[in-house]
Amino acid sequence: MRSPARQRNSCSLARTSTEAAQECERVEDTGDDMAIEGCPLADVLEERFRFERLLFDVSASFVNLPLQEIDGQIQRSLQRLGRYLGIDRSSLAQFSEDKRDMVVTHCYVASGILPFPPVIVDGQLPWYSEQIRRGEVLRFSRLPEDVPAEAVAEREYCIREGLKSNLAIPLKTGTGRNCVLTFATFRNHRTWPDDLVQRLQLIGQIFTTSLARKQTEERMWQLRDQQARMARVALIGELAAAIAHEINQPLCATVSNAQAGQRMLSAGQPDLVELRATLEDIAADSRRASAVVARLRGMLQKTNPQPEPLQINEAVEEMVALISTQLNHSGVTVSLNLRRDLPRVLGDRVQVQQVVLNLALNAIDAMSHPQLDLRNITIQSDLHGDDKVIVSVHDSGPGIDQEHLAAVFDAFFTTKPTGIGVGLAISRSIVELHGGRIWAQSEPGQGATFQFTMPLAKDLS
Amino acid sequence: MMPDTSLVYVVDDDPSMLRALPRLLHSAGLRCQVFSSAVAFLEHDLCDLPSCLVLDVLMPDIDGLELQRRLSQQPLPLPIIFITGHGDIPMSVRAIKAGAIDFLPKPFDDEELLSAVGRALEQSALDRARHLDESLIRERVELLSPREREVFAHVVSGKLNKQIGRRLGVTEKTIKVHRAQVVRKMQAGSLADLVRMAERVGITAPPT
Repeated sequence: MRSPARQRNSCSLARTSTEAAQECERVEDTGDDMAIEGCPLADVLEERFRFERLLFDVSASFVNLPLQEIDGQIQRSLQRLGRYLGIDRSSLAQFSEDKRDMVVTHCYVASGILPFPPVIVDGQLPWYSEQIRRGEVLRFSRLPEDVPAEAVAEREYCIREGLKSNLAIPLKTGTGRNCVLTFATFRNHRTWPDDLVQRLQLIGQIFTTSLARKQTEERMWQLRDQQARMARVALIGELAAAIAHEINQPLCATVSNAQAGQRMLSAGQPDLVELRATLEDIAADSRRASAVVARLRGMLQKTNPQPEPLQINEAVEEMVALISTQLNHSGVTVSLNLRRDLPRVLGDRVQVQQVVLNLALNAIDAMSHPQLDLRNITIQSDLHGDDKVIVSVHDSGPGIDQEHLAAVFDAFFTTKPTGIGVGLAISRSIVELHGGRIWAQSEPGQGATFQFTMPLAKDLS
Repeated sequence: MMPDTSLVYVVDDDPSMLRALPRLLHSAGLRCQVFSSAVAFLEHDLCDLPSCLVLDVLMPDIDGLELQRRLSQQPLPLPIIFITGHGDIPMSVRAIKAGAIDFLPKPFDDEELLSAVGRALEQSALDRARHLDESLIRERVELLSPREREVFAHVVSGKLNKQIGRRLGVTEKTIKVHRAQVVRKMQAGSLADLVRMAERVGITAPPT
């Protein structure tokens, strides 16, 4: 099982950029010699031991790996496996959002071998794609002979590419976008025994788990970014009232001055000194109003909420998944009690999720006291009347003092040492913008419950 | 040049408004005095003339509604016209219920303000006359003996002398004498006059 070439190409295909396919890094062969002459049993054991150690190394390399190193590590692992197993080409591909195309995200290619096509588009290899979608492991030891008769396109592909053997392992991911791990040879035929397939399957699961973690955290950063923007918009909303006053005040003085001037003129024999002072005041006040407008212009930024029919449970579940790390760190468990047959509500997904996020983060904060025995958040959804959905977030924290209960939604109200008190105020403006209502209830020692309603989307669906 | 028959107070924390409003009031021949805060206004002695207050709602320290509350404890009411940049309905309802003459959102029209000021000054003049009237009636009530005051209360509740006598355990003739004393001391021209005066100072018959 000596590697066929001393130098290999390994290339990384960024999911969104096919250009990366051309960027191949050259890697020096470390010169591991796998075959040992002598006793066949010792050979087998030695071989098994080396492979197990390789698998262990690969698995261990993903523990606590920083996000930005995950892609590189998958790349290197494919290369090590490929070299060890004498495989010419291996890849990890992921189904696109619509689950039709398979996009190659990582691959290793031995030198002299054709690089992998970056995408297998829907319909290109219909039989193959369908098997993978169904979760079937595909192993071909002799190609093209082993390809079933009905797989016409696949047979042609094998002949065209010169494929001699192939292994494809479908992998489930938590995100719904499943992956496939493939290994191919072009020079020799190769068998794919069960125990090898099982081990590679495990490695594949490690790859996809790490990728899912990366994608989830990236999505979370996006959401945080949106959240920060929302917070700014909400702040502007709070400031708008103050700014309106700033503009209105000089306008009012201007109107009064102008009308006083008109009256002076109508009365005849106007006091010209007074009239001049009046006009000067009018000019000054107009400039004052204009300066406020200029200040306001700098603060505004376009944001268009996109209300659409959405499943509130999905939004809730996605949000809970997003903060699962934070929940774990805080030792908080979440019980979901979501009513399954809920009609869809009309809302902006990001904004609705922000409300859920704010309430959940609030609940986590409320239960941060070290002496608390039970840290649980219960999130429920249900119908509210016949035209609304209600979502309630209950925590097992110390509850809210009655004197604070009415003020918790006010901007800049906070009891947290590090809070700025906009989370609930933003949540309220979002909910009210959507035509819903939000309120808080709390019994001392019984935790706090935040509830909000959202109108159903029935008018538009 | 301004008639010293009335005075308009203006309280607003905005310096522009404090310049513009007096001009507008002067142009209508009204005398006025401006204050940049409720505190400054409260420290000032009020004049002995029909007067009213043009008052901004939103001000630091003591706001307009709080100033209204404090002024309401005075014996002689000062009619208030509120002006505000944030004319929300609950606030205006509260102000009007507490006796405000008007609640004008900024910016307002000169006619709106001047007509409100006109009404406020009329109200003030009326209040003053009534107040004067009241103190006069009170002075006269002071002259009545305890018995005469009792008789006064029964008379204005529409009772006959005979009934009053029975109630107080004296003869009808005695009541007649008391009644004549009441009419004389109160300088009442008629029973209707007595009733009006009793109402003004809140004298009613004890329950039977």
